[in-house]
Amino acid sequence: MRLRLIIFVLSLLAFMSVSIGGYLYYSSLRRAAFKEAERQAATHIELIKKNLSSFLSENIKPVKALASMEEMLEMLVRPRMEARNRANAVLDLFKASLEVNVCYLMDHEGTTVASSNRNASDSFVGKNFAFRPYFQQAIHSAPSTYLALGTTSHKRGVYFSFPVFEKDEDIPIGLVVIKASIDQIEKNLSLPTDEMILVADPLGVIFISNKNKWLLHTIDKLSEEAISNIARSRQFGTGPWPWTGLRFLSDTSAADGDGNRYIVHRAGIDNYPGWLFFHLRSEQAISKTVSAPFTQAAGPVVLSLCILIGLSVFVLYRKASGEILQRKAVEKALRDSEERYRTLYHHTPAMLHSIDREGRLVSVSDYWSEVMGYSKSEVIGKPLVAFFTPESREYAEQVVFPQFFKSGICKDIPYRFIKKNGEIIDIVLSAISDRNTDGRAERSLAVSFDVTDIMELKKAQNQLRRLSASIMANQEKERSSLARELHDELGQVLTALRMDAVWFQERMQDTNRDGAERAMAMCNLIDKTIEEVRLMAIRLRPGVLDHLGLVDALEWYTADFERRTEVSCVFEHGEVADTEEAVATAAYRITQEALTNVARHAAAKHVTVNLQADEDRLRLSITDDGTGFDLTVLDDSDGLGVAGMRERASLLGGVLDVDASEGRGTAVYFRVPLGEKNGRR
Amino acid sequence: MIKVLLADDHSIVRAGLRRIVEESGDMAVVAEASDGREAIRLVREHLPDVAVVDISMPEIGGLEVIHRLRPEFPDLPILILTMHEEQQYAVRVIEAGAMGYITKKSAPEQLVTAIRKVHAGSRFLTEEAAEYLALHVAKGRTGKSPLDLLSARELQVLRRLALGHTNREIAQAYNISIKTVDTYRLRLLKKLELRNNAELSRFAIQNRLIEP
Repeated sequence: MRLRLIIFVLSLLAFMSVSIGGYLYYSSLRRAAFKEAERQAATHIELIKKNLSSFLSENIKPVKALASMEEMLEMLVRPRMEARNRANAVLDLFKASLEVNVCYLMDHEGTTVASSNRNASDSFVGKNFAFRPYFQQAIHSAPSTYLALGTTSHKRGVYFSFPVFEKDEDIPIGLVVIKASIDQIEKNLSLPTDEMILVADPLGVIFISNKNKWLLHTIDKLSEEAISNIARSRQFGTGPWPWTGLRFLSDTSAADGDGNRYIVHRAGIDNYPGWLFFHLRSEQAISKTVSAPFTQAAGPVVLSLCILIGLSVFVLYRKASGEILQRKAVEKALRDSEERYRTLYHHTPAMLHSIDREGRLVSVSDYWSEVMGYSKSEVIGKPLVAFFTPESREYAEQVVFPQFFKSGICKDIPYRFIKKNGEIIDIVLSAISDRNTDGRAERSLAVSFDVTDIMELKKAQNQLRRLSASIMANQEKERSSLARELHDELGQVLTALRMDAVWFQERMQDTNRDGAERAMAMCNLIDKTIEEVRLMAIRLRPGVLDHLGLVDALEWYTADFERRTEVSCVFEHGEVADTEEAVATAAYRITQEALTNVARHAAAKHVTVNLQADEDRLRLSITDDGTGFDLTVLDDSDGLGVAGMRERASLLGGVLDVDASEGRGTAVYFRVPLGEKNGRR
Repeated sequence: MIKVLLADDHSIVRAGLRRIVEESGDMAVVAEASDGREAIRLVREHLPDVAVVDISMPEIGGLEVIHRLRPEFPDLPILILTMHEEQQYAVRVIEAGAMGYITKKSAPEQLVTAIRKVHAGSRFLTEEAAEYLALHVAKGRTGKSPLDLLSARELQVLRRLALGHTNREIAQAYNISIKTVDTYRLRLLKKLELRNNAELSRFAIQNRLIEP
């Protein structure tokens, strides 16, 4: 869960940094765009200002020309009908050619005497405009330009006045005025809607503007006194000259009542001292003009970038989630397996323990502590050898441990443990080692089997074996002595008897034929008895084996076997030293048993007995060409005496193998190690 | 008179033997020993012409007596007497240096003949022992002879066939049927990869089974 959160936060941070980068880039672009706009605006404003100034000054020269016209002076000096008509014609001509509102002539008292609008309803003729500053200045010989709201026409206008002098006189006798419409100027100053031009008089009344609703409003909030001054000047009609609501935040910025912000430029106007020219440009509009192309171009790019980043974040997040899930599954599997292992370790009914490199117990299974009688806390950390008998401890420390930590494995090591109650148990221990990354054995996992019962069984088995061996040896001994008794004692007596019988027979040969015959019969009977005794003795144990050794005994036995059974019996042998009695007996008895089997079951024609010996081993084989038999049947019913042969072989540390299959004869192999006693002959 | 020493641990046997020897007329038992050690002492004491020694006696047996007497009395013929019928004993006895070998059973019939023969410097063996000895010598002890392929009976039959005996004679000698003898003959031919009796004879001569 925590990893997931981290990845989520990381993705978020990545997204944020991309966004911030984008934003910073955007704003730097925007700043550059603003700067560029400002530069453009400055040029633009300069142009507008120039235009405006030139508009406002364009009739200065014409008015001078008009003032110097003869007809004007004539009209003022001799105001007759004819003069009036001529003056009016000139004024009409000027008005038409200059395309102005009106041109008119005033006398020195300020009364209009001739005008181009003399026929209009709002004719100036006869009206006095002596209050106008342009009159007051012109009558004092100074040409003037003046901006005001017409008192008659109620139209804004630019007034150009010039005094009319008599020849060589300094005092003007009247003046001419050209009034041009501001509307016309405004029309000529075509401006975009997002820009605003304000032209204000020194008091702050807006006289020219492309924003009509602000006309005749004040730029600053004015005091009542200032308002009454304006009213008194009669320059801008009757009022009430409300405030535009415009606030100047700095020299270059302002905000209107609606909260729109503007960038402001201000400048003076040529020929109109105290008048100010304001150029306002809406910031919103600027930013729009600046950002519009930018957003148009960059918008899709940024958007697709964002989508792309978002998508990749999503994909990566999914991937990471998947990875996390997988890892979790693996961890769980690992935990489960660990748990299983732990359960297995602790609950398996086997003695399991682990030791570290110092031989100290790291863990033991439940069964271990149960068998040993110690609780786990009593044994963990203790050296394993503390639970060994002294002999086992020595064996472990001297032999097993060094070897184990080197090879990493040990198998079936016999130890003896001492239980808590002092009882000693025999165990067989096998262990493997856990190796660290360097390949060093770190700790062991060992399993011990309590073989006390098995050991006892083995002991019993050994006893049984010894018993069996001694029984067999005694049997042989007894047979041997019995055979000797029969053969030597009884045999000798019978031999002596025979000698007497023969003596009798020879004695009575000539004298007593019946007696001789009787003695002969006796002699035959004795011969038969001797033969029977001899056979009995041999069956018990052949004297040849004791007197002449194994080779002669087998040679005799095989020849005898052939004579009895008419099975061709070849006895092959190498040089065989005098073998110890037990080995010789075993070899002889095994041959006897095997050949008896051949005679009884094999239906063989040939049998070969082979006896070889080298320095440390005796090898005997009995091979026939008979019917053989199924080996699997062999172990179930031991009618063939194989178990007996095996027993004889194993008692001497030898091996007996039977190789047989139906139809392919039988081979019995007997191999036995020869003791030191059995050197070569 | 031939001076005879008798060595046997059984007094009744010894008595029987003495009677057989003495009844021959030209022999006299000069000493009787009941074991090997006594026999050797008495030989030294009485210097007999022939020593008749039982092979199996307590402590020092007949074979050991031969071994001990041979270096000291190389000219003394020793006749070994035994209860054992097995021919294997004969080979050992002859190899040890005895001049003759008879079983106690056949003593009444053969002892006197045997003593005379060994005293005369010849060997005395029963026919079976002689045959066995011949076969044994031919085979050798090395186990490298072609004869090793053959069983005891086969060797016997081969020898007799090579000597020119008929099947009937062989059957009688070994107390087996004529048919069995023929079976052995065929088996021999097959085993030795021979074609007829003539080749069998040649094979027997080559392997010193018989004298040419």
